[in-house]
Amino acid sequence: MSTTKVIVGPVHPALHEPERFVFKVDGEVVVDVEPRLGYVHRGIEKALTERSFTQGLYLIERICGICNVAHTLAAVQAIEDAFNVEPPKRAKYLRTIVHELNRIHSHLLLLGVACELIGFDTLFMLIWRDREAVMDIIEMVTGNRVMSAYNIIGGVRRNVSDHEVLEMKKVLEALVEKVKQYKEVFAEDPTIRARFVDVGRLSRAKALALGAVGPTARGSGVKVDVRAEEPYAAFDEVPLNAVVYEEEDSWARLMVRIDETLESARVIEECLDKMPTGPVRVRVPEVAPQSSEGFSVVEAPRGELLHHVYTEKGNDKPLRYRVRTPTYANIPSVCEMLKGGYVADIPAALVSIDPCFSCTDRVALVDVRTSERVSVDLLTLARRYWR
Amino acid sequence: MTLPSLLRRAWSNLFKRPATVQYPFKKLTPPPTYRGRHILLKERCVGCGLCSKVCPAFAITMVSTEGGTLPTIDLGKCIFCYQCEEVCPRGAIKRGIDYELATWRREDLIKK
Amino acid sequence: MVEEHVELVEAFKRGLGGGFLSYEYDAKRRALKLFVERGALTKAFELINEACGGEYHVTTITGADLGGDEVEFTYSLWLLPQKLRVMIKTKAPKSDPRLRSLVSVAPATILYEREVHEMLGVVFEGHPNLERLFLPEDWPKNFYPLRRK
Repeated sequence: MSTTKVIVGPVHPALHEPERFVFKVDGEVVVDVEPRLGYVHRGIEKALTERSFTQGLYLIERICGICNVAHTLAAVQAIEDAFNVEPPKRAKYLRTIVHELNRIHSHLLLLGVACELIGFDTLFMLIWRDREAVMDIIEMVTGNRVMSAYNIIGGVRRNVSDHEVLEMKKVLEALVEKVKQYKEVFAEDPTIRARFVDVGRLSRAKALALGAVGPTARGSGVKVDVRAEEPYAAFDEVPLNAVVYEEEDSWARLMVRIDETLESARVIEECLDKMPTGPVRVRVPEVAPQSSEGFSVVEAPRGELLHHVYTEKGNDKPLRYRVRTPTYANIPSVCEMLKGGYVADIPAALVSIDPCFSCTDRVALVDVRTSERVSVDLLTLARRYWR
Repeated sequence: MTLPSLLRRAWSNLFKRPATVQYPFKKLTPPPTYRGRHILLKERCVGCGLCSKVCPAFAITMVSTEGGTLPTIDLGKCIFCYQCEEVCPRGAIKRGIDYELATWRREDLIKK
Repeated sequence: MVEEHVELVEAFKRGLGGGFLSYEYDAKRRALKLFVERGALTKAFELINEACGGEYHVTTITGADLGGDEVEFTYSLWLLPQKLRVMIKTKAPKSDPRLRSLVSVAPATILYEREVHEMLGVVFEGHPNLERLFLPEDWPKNFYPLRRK
């Protein structure tokens, strides 16, 4: 048996963000996978220790454009935990609404991209046109289609008027009808089923052992959803049902996302109905009032996201800031699910975890004063397994 | 079950206008809450420099002119977060909805 | 604290003896912090494994250099049956930054240990492939970005 190496990336049409995979193949079957991360490494964790909390919040928002609300939500919750500040109730409801809107737009984006990847361009265009309605209401509520800049330490920055509430309800009602149609298409269309069913198998035991999160884990029968298990923001008063599928393949992961879109729309409607009146923001001190640590776990569209901050009394900058993003946690699971499959199934399996490598590579960096050149020969390169 | 529903959609789409908006012949107006080009009310500014200190992108510099010290925003660096509007004690920076900010030269992006 | 938390703390006291230093319960976040000696880490993970029948999820490993002469580590875990967040904290001196690798006990820690190694210079003994993860190949050796001066 002779193995050939197929290198995918860092710039490749099947990948939306740069990452290099080296696949060892025997004929058409993938035998082993080596990922190489770090192409979008921007040194954010180190940069955050040199910026004040509010300035750092805008940098955190730009860790990932698609899930920016999840990142700012986790950040403000972690910092509020460290400062021992409680935001007002109305702010928690507004945060939940924008958080779920962000999730809907992210899932619709992925579903369109998944269709495009298998060549079903018509469905991609249709899904993205319906996604435009969601982007319009995000623009109305937060001021921008993508970078919301909505969460701030102590609450949210803007209030929502009654007219905006009515507009949201109208758009969501129309959207739910369309998404139900798409659910039928995904469940029964023969092309989609041929490309996604039984592709990228990840057993439940492996998903749990390798630390998979989000729809990647929930598509394999692992019932973990931070919103249901460790409720944050308004989820303790507006409970949510976690969506779990048992089929353990790419199709299950995509179906989880469609059902989550419908569930999110339901949660937003309930929040809009139950929203209390009151202030949307409390003022917090510029510098940390105590030396402590705060952490916050939220459910980003791709999975469980953790922000951990260490503060020092009197310092307006954090001592240490740690972000653990969901795609980072899913990498070992991806390598496991690609083994034993065909080379042609690689894009279908990869897109089902919703890869966001901007989120993955954001650890620390400092300016390099001396750069040492280390020459590496092919033999050493070939021995670099991450196993 | 799915084939007829998609066919119905395809048939009805045949007689609808395309969803694309023909920019620049037809321009969309963003909602009034949009974060676009800043409006600086010069008579209200007292030159305290708080906007410059709080800017996360370090895009604002305070420049001395005959009218006093005024902020200059580099639109190339600005991230349009409007922390400057929040922190201004006199309300001298206001939100605008202009989104057409392209210029021919990088220097023209620095709003005088 | 509810019964399951008390059970876990008791199991730790029995299993680790002197290796178990103290515990703290954060009621608002439903999180249990357990402070252990660095030598007792593997046993601590085995106890957790027993307490929840293998159904636990490793969230991450946070290494923090807070300016003293020690590096603090936080292993964040989520126990599925008890629905409890557990943070196992331990410290290692900067003069001897070594820990036992937990890859054989919890395979999910494989990439996190590599990241802590390249950012803080901590050696995880027994890790199958302690190579660079995010930093480029021509990054100078022995220069750890997250260490404070």
